[in-house]
Amino acid sequence: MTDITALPRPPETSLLKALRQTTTFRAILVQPWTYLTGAVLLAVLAASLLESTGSVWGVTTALTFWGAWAWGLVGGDPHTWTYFKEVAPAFNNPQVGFFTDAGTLIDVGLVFGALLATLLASQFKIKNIKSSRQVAAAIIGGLLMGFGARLSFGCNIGAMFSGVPSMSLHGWVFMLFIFIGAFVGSKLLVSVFIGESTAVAVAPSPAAAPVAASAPGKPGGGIRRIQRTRVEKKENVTQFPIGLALLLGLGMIAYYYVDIQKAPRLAVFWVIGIALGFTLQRARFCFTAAMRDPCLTGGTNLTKAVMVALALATVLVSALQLGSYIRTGNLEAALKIGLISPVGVHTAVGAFLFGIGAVISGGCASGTLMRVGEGFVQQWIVLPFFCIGGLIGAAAWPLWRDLLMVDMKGAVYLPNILGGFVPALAVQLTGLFAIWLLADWWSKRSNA
Amino acid sequence: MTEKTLDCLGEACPVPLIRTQKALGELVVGDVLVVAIDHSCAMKNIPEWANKEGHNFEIEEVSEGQWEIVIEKSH
Repeated sequence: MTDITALPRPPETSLLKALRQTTTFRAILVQPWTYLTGAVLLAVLAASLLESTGSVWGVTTALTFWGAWAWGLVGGDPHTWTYFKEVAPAFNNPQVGFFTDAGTLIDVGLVFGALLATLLASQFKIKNIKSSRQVAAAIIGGLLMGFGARLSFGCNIGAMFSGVPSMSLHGWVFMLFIFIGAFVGSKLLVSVFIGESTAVAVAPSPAAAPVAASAPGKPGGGIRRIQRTRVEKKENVTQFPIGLALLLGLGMIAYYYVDIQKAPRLAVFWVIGIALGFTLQRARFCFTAAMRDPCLTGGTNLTKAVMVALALATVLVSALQLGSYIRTGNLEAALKIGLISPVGVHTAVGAFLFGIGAVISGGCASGTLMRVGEGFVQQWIVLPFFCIGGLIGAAAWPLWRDLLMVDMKGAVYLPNILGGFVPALAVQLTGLFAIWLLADWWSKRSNA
Repeated sequence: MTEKTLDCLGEACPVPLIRTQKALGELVVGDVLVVAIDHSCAMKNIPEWANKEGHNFEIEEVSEGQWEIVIEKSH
């Protein structure tokens, strides 16, 4: 079990090259972070966003706005839709546009944060698609996610990652049904969308003779290299300077919001969006994998990491509420910190559809944006269809509002049904820990 | 000893890992599978899986954003 990237490398000449070879540089900017690092940072970033702006982290409402703005450009009039009157009134706020919408700034920041992380690691590549099945998966998955997230009033971020720590029942219902949707999506992926591809035997040729290679440096410490055919590889081109230039550009945009627009709040959304994208990419933190892998590949590391993130976020949101209560003495206002959304059949149906879409398309909403920044052509296709799905969901609101009997006042705050704040907190943390234990047991069981 | 290559370039998670699991299942102990990937999550979850299953593996970055995961079937 040897990772050759950890082996000693030949000394380099220039200062920049030398810096790029240091262990610290590689640990921070090149090697993937652990899932736990990702979980802690995501919880802290989401809490910082809540504390500094009063807003929870959401992804999909902005994508619906993008769809609606595009619809407006081609002659539609989404401003008259009842959805934007009853559910997302921010859309009709004259001060909200592409460059001034909080959710849009987070989402665009997320794309650039992921791009930044990829460039600083010199790992940017445009990853082209291979088959038409991938195009179909991207289109269907994007539409399902966009539409599903409207039904459930948010995705695994807006509904789950922001709802559960706020002790809103809709977050828990979302989590249960996205697991079920991911299970169905996995079956669909394996039976319909994966296609055939088999391993090809390497033809032995004089040019590529098998060698027990010990090329980069001298592997010491008794590490045995796997014997395989090796071809001389060219030295990688560094993308690090491009990453630095991008960082400068992103910083200048933040400066523009603070100093020229005099809108420091918008700069906060922008900077935290970048940090979220950077963290998701560096830790390879994938909510979809957390829901999908237990049944599909037997892996539960991400499932456990998501539970840690939710537990930590719960504690942080509670701390912010307590802090606000101590400062102001107003309990009712303090408990409003966070996100409590209506819960009902629509939450379950939306989460289920979203789960299917996320698995077949290869990523949830935040995952799609992160991979758009990383250069995945498949996600470049997913994104516009995600927006179209959201647009359809918004347009069809009167239909499913009545069909699924959405009660806009039907939010359930767990402390109200579990006998108070402290019992609810205890039940919630126990529940998250129980899922963690179940995931841990499942991984060991499927390993045996 | 047989050496096989599996081309998973351009494919998104979890496809590369599923293909790897299937391809390695068809090999015998001592054989080597080289999986070509450019999905940044697969360069973490394929080695994790190989590690959990107890196979020897190496991660080789062949160019920017492209890796080869070399797995030696150990049992």
